[in-house]
Amino acid sequence: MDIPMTAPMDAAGDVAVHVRKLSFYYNQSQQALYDINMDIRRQKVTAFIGPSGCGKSTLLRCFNRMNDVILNTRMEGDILINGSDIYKEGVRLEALRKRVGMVFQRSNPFPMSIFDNIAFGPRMRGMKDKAVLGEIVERSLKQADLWKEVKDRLGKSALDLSGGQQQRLCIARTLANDPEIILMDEPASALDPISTAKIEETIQVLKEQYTIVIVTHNLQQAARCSDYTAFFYMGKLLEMNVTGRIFQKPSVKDTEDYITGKFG
Amino acid sequence: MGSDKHEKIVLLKDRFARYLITAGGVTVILSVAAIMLFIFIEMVPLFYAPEAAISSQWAAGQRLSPVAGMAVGADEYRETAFRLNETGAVDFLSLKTGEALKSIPNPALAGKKITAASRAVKSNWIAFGTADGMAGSTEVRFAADFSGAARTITQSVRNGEQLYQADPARRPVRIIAGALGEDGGIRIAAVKDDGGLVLLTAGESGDSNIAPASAGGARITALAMKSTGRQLIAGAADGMVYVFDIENGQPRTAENFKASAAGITALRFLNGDETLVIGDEKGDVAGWFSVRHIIAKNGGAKKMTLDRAHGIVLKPGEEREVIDRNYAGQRGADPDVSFAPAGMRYLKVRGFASHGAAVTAIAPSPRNKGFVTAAADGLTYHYITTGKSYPVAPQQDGKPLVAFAPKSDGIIALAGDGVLYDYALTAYHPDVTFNTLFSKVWYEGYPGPAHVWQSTGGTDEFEPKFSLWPLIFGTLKGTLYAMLFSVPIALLGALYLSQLAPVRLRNIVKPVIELMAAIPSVVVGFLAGLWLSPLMDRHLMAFFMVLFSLPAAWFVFVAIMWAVPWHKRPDISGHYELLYLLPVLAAGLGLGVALAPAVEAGLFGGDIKGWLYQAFTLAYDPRNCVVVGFALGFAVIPIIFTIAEDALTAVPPSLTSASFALAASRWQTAIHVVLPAASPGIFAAIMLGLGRAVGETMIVLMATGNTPIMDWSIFNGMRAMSAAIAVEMPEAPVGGSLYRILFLVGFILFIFTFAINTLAGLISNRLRRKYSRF
Ligand SMILES: Nc1ncnc2c1ncn2[C@@H]1O[C@H](COP(=O)(O)OP(=O)(O)O)[C@@H](O)[C@H]1O
Ligand SMILES: [Mg+2]
Repeated sequence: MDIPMTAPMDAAGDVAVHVRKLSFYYNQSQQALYDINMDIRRQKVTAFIGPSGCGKSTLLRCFNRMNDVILNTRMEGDILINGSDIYKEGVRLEALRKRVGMVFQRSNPFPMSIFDNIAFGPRMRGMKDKAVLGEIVERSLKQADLWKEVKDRLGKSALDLSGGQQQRLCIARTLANDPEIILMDEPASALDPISTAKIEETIQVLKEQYTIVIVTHNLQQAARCSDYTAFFYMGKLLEMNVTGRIFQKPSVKDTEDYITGKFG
Repeated sequence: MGSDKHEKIVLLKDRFARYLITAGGVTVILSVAAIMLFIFIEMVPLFYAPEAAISSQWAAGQRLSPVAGMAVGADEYRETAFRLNETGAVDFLSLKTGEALKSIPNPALAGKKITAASRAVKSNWIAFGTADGMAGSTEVRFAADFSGAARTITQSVRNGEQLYQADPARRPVRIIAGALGEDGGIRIAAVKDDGGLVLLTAGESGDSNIAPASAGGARITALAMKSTGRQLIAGAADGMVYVFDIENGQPRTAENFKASAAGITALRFLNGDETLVIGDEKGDVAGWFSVRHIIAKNGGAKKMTLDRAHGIVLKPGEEREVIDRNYAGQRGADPDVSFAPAGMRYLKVRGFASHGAAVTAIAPSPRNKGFVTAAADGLTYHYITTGKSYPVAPQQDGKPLVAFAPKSDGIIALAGDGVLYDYALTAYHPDVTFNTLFSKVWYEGYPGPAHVWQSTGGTDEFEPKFSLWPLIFGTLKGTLYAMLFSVPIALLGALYLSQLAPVRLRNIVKPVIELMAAIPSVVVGFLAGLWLSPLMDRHLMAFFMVLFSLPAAWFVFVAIMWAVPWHKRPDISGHYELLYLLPVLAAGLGLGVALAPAVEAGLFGGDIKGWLYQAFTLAYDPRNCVVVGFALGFAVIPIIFTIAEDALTAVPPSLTSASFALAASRWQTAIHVVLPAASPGIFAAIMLGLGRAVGETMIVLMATGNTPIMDWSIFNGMRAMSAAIAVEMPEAPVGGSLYRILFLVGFILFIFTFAINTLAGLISNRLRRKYSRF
């Protein structure tokens, strides 16, 4: 194994996602990930950085099996969430995705009211009680720091919100599912600096309760809001460590080049 | 410089293109507007009320001779009028100049005086009675000659062979009615001075027979005879009406009924002999139809509701005479009720606007179901189908004689003061009103008011029935069954192809279905009418069986798949469902067809059609709505499918991903995210399909029996508006009621499609605003 596992291995109870020897192929043979091994810590923010096309999103999508939708893909290795293999036969995708929520790069609210957007997940799981749904909506919006802005227009279309608000709505929508892990794929890349700052604040609050994996292009962002950082390059995990260490003393030459802006 | 020139050319081209496009657009809009205008112009005269205006009036009493007139009439071109006067002579008067043309005396009546006369409906044959108890007939004839520069009309009179003695006591005949049989024989009914009624029958050979008719001693005040000479009606001073069958020359009382509280003063059969118009002393005018009755007997031990709509409930053992509304047919199998014929009974069907004074004369139109009544307060034109009355002229002095011109385009009236009036009657569509088009009408010969479309009969004695509901209903029915068949198939197909099918299959299936739209509808209609319809007729049971066996095979397949532990199940998720499903469906189909004869023999007595009729009185018509649903659906499916599929495919993957990421299943995603997001397109697809189904002509024309009935049964046909236009346009004389009504039907069809398209646009826009800003 040529990838140094620099992150200290704590007790298994501290690991939310355990990735073992993961390789991933598109179109049966086009390899996108090479033998990834990593542990993602519970209630910490882990940032994935690396140049475009290095496989960050692909790995993220493995965590909630969103890659299953894509035809002709193949995966080798294991992913254990809370110790159990999520690619085992008989795992229900809906149950997995309820536990592992995802926020996409481009905000994608449904063409429904704000309320219906947030209540979508619980409703799909059979929740009908208006009062309970109302509580969930309020809690989620508050967690995503959107409640104050939208509490008077819950019945209005979510499509009327600004880009930053829409993205926070998508976060709130994920929170309404009461997940354990939240995957965020460049959640702020399409937003203005103020909206980005708000999302980062939100992440800081959320990590008290949730395990967060965030893919970002923005190194400052990774430095600011993550506890751990993983650096990917050409489908390989080159280095993973406490964020401070990665940014100050990267142990791999490529990481240093990337961080100092020599490529990427 | 060069670039300057180039810019100019671009500008020029731009301007030219703009003008061309504008011109094209404006032309399209203008031609649509012009078509609408044309349809409108063609259809609007339907609703013009009939009008009569005086065209000429002459003091006939001075220009001819001062003797009294007994009957009047005119030639076909309303050039000459005639008057039968009390001496028996026929006087002719030019309606153009008022000049007395000639007077032809009747030698047989020399020295006699006519006291009663009655003119036939369709000819100028007149029956008369004299002051010395004789009765006879005469016929006024006009011959038009076109050989010269101008049309010349020669008048002649053909007097009856002989006079017959109506009253041996030689007292004056008071009232008379007659009919000229087709064999040349005549029937004349006369009321004698003593009030006695006699019927006189004379064959062409001159043999005659006289028979008394008994009206129970009532004083008879009016007579009417069917123009076929089969029935005689006598009205009495106490408002009673007596009906006699006189077919064999012996009057036989058929029925009596009280027609009015006041005395009957005028009676007449309308053209066609179906409607009896009764006028009374108070000025009331009413139309009566003869309707078949039956006696229904409740032989059971329970109360029986024979007809809820008409409140006919029979107590046990009760017998009642009711209008024959085909109860016997409907109750064929019920042993508790029995029916016996009760003959025909006159019923008052329509009342008209009353005169202010006693009705003195009724003149039926020789062309249609219109008639004119005369009273001291004037003349009124009525139409039996519509029940409408239109004043012709106020205040005619005294007791006018009235007659229609032969083309029903004028009314000739001779007032008591000897003035002859010629009215031009402008009644192009007296048989059409908004009500006759859209409400139930009680037509001649029907047991009650009904929506009927029966536009043409052989002769003008036929009453055209122009209710548009059967056609509108037909269009809706055909459309409904077509949509019932095509919407689920097209939408499920679109959902499958857009969401589940492998790309390769999609690339084949989609163009093939789009190609379906290119098949000319006449081919589809032909196949439906000449292949599918007889096929289904022969194998109806197999059709039913397949309806069940196909889904059943599918369910069994799915159930087996669920029962097999999933790791042992063949992997069919990789878009190979179709490969597995096809043989299963084929097996279902084969099984259904193979089992059909056995099931039919076992459960339905070997005859499913007979069983359907026995159990539900459902008659099976081979050209029925199943066939229409299939055929029309075939035309509609490609439209709905293509547009819906496009809409479903266009739903952005970001939405489905979001849904999956929120732990929704595939099915939930399809229902709660994909369908709503595609709903504007799906809705537009359905509406466009609907528009196509509503407007489609050839298929509904060929695949249905075109019977304009109002019955939702899937096992019989219908006549759609579009088909009615196509079928009936060739038989509609230009400018006639049917012709204009067909334009109206076209207009309604346009309103339908216009409404559908507008609605589709509006709703689809709303949905789009709601769902499509991603
Ligand atoms: N749906 C797909 N089909 C085929 N190749 C894909 C697909 N998605 C991503 N890839 C390829 O996989 C590699 C990794 O992509 P990705 O995970 O999106 O990178 P990142 O998120 O780090 O920019 C890239 O080379 C990309 O072209
Ligand atoms: Mg990415």
